[in-house]
Order: sequence, then C-alpha cells, then structure tokens
Amino acid sequence: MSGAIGIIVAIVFIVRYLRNRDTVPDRTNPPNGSQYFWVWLAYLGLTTLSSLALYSAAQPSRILEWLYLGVLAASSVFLFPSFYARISILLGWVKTSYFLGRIAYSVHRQDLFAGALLYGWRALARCGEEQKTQQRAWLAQKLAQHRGTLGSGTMVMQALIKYPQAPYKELRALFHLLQGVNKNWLPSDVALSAFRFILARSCAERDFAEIRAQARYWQLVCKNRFAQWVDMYHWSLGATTIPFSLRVKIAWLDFWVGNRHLKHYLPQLKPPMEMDARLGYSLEQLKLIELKIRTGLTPAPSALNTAWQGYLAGPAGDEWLPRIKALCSFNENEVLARLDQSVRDLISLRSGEGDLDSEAAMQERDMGFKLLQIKINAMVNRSEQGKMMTGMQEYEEFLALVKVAERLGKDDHSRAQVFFQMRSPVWNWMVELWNNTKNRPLAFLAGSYMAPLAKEFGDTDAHDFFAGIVGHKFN
Amino acid sequence: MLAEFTATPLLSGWPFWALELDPTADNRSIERAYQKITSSLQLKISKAEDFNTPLGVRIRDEYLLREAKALLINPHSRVLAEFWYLKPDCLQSTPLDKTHLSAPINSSASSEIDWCAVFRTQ
Repeated sequence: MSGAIGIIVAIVFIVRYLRNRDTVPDRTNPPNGSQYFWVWLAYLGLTTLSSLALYSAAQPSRILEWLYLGVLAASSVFLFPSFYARISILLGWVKTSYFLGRIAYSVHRQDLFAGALLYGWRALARCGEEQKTQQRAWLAQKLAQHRGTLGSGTMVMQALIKYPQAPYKELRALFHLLQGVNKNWLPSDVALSAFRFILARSCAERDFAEIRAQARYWQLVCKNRFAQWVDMYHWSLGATTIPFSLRVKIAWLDFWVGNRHLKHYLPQLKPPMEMDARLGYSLEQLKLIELKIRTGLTPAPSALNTAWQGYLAGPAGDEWLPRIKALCSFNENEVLARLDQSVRDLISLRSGEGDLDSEAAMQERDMGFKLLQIKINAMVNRSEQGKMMTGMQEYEEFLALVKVAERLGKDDHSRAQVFFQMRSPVWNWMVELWNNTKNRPLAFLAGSYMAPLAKEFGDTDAHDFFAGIVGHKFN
Repeated sequence: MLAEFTATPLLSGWPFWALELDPTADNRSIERAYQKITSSLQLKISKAEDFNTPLGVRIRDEYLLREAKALLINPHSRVLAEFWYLKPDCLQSTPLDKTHLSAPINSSASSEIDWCAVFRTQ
C-alpha cells in the first residue's frame, strides 16, 4: 500500500518537473494551490503507514494507540485549518487565526497571505479593547513585512487594516480605485468583507448613492449574493413598477441574505431626489431644495445647477423686473445681475469649488504639481536603476501618487496635464513590475487606473499598453 | 448680524424672520414691527428674544433688529431679501411635490445603529 503511494507521489513529481523544466513560471495568475493536495497526500501516507505499523504488531500497545489517535487529531489542523480558524476567531486570538490562515491553502487559493490577514482582522473584532491597538499594529507590521507577490486580496486587506478610521471621502476614493484590482487574485471572503466594510461606512455617513454604487460592483466579484440583494432592494425603492419575476427574486434573496436593519434604514435614508431640469422648477421649490441640502436632509441632486440656470434664464426676469422697478426705479438690470450673482455664489459654495483665479488656489495647485513631480521622479529613479521596493511599498507609493493626481485633476485641463506627466514614468514602472519583480497584480491595478485616462485623452499607444495589461495580452 | 446668516446667500431673507414680517410688508409696517419688538425686548417680555427661522429658533437683540430694519428699508438689499425669502415653517408645511423630497430622517434612530456591528466589520 505504502509502496503504491510512494510510486504515485514519485510519478507526480517527475511529471511536474518535466512539464515545468523549460518554462518561466507564469505569475499573471495566482499559483494553482497544489499545496493542499500534498498536505492531504502526506496525511494519508502518515495514517496508512502508522496504522500498518501499529496493527500489524502482535500485541498493539494501548498507549501507542492513544498516542496515534492524538497525533492524527492534532495533524487534522493542517487538513481543516479554516475550521480551527473559526474557533480561534471566536476566541479573539489574532495571531493564531493569522497563522491558521497561512496554511488555509484551499480556501484562499487566490491570495493566501490576504486570507491570513483576513482571519487575523476578524479575530480583532472579538479581542479585548486593551489588546486591539497592539494586535492591529502587529497585523500592520506583518503587512509591511510581506515580501512576495502582492495579490489583490492583500491590497484590499491593507485598506481594511490601515484605514479603519480614515475620512470617508478618502476611503470612498480608495475603494473606487480598488475596483480595478485583478479578480483572479482576490479570495471570495476577502471581497465579501470588503463590501461589508465600505457598506457600513456608507450607511453611517448616509451616502445613499454610494451604497448602490458599491453593491453594483461587488456583486460581480465572487458571486456576492448579499451585494446583489442590496443592489436590487435599493433599486426597488426608486422604481415605479417592479415586474413580478423581480419581486420574487428580491424576496428570495431577502429570505437568504437580507439584512433587517438595512431594510428598515434604506427607505428612511431616501427615496432619491430625482430632478428633471426640463420640468422647470419655481424659485420656491429651488430654495426649498437648497435648504434641505443645507440642513442635511438630502444630498445635492445632480440636475440642481441646471435647474437654477433654467430658472435664471427663463422666468426670473419676468418675475423680478416689475418688483425691482417698483422698489428702485432705475438700473433694474444691475440689481437683477446681483440676484444672478448671489445664485452663482450659492452654487459655488455648495459644490465646494474653489475659485481658480484666486491667489490661494493657484498656490495650492503649484504645490500639488511640485509634489507630483517629486513622486514621479522617485518612481523614474526606482524603475530605471532597478531598485524596486517591496510590493507593499510600491503599492503605497502608487496610492500616494493617485491621491495627488486626483486632488490636482479637478477639471479636464488639469487632468490632461497630470495624465501626460504620469504616463511614461508609470508605463516604465509597470514594465519593471511586470517583467522583473513579478508584482503583476499591482501592474494590473495601475493599468486599470491609467487605461480610461489614456482613452479619454486620445493616447492610443499608451491605451494599447495599459488595456493590454488589463486584458491579459502580455505574458 | 448672526454669522450663520452671512455664510450663504440662501439665508439672505433673515431680516424678515427677525422682524416677523413677510415680503408684502411696506416701510410703515417695518417701522411698526421694529418698534414693537424693541419695546418688548426692553420690557423683558418672555420669549421676546426668540424668533423663528427655517433652521430653528434663534436669538435677537436690538442691534440685530436695527440692522434688519436698515436692510429692508434699502431697496437694493430688500430685493435680495425678498428673492431669498423662505417661510420660517417651510420645512414642515410644504407638501411633497415634484421635487420628491423625502420625509425628514429619523436621525436619532438611524444614528443609534452601529453599522460595524450589523455588518460584522470594525
């Protein structure tokens, strides 16, 4: 029996060696996770050999039998690490959960390290308050020390571990960027936790539109039925008629994965304020909407500025010129222009747009471009001299670069300037990541961020390259 | 003047709230309202200091009233105040119309929910 197992193992080794002899290992997709197979095989071999040795003896010893059973039970940790991890998560043992995650080959095949971090992160929620800061720092340290290929799952876990208290706007921007990660490197339960994480923040911030935006994206990753329910339920709130089949589907999803708190909360949050600027809004209605926005009862609808413009260009003159004439008999057009200006002031205050002509705004812009240039120079130096840092460090540098670029690119003109400054350095940096350090999921993320920009500004060469990385055209 | 009212043009109608008037008021009724409210302030009549705005009850004094009167008597600033005037109870009294504005959120109930616990995150 054991001889047969030995021969099978030897054959498998020889076949794998012959197949992989002349090929460069492909790092575009995650490793195939064959470790799990070897663990099981080793366990089977151990069981067979030891039971043969034990029971073929003339007088099997009781102590040896118990010892044998004990060893088998203990080594089942290697067979079912995720089961033991559940127990340690319940007990709030962060380090144990993390190390069990390191051997959960079958569960987190896409990104084993991210799975380990996820187990540790889940255990964090259950450990004592006095331990929490210390344990979180320990997890962050493990994250920083990671040297291998940086998978998509690890990028997501970085957001969960390092930015639990980050300002909501920053976190939302980060999650929008993370929508470009390579899904082949993303374990399903990491994706599920990431969705729940951003959903909790969006609900707490009462960001009604973002709840659906996130649900629409995450339901496409790893068959996330909860995200599908959130998306459909959210949609059903604003819909005038819902077909019967969709009603059934929503009820079905509600039965399995529905969340009763969210179900009660979402309708309260808002039946979305849909404005159609063509309808023509009266001054009273527009003022009322502005007041509701100011008091935080509703978010600003996108068509509000157009509705204001429609009012000022249309009925405003007819309504107000007679009144202005009655109050002050001359220069009524000047007074009307002051009313226009006050509306424009209100719009600019609400949307938080800085005046580009002002001195302060120009100074800020100048500083932003300097910072961008410093980051780009560092990136060029690293990729030209082949001094790339670890995957996590490179990822954090890229996040910082994107943050500066997003802050600068408030209008199309600035965005084009920023893109053409970043284009070549990021291209070379991605080539270095792809060919030499083999951090291909990171190059994929950068490609999915840059490709739409290249398309928007008509740079076909760059677009072919960035989209080629995302479309798995290179090997 | 209350800083809250100068922060945005939306609240430019504040002189009407302070004097408890509406845009139909003429200069004589402005003067009468000013006299009436200042004398009740001097006599320390209870709640004479309070006045209603769409944002809730605010406190007024003689300086605020004087400024409100001056703004309403000046035709240019009066146009602006009339343009932006909102009834103090507009948030409660206006029915749902084509703006599809939602009912006010029960904010105390919603803020009590611990979303991290609901979604088992931290």
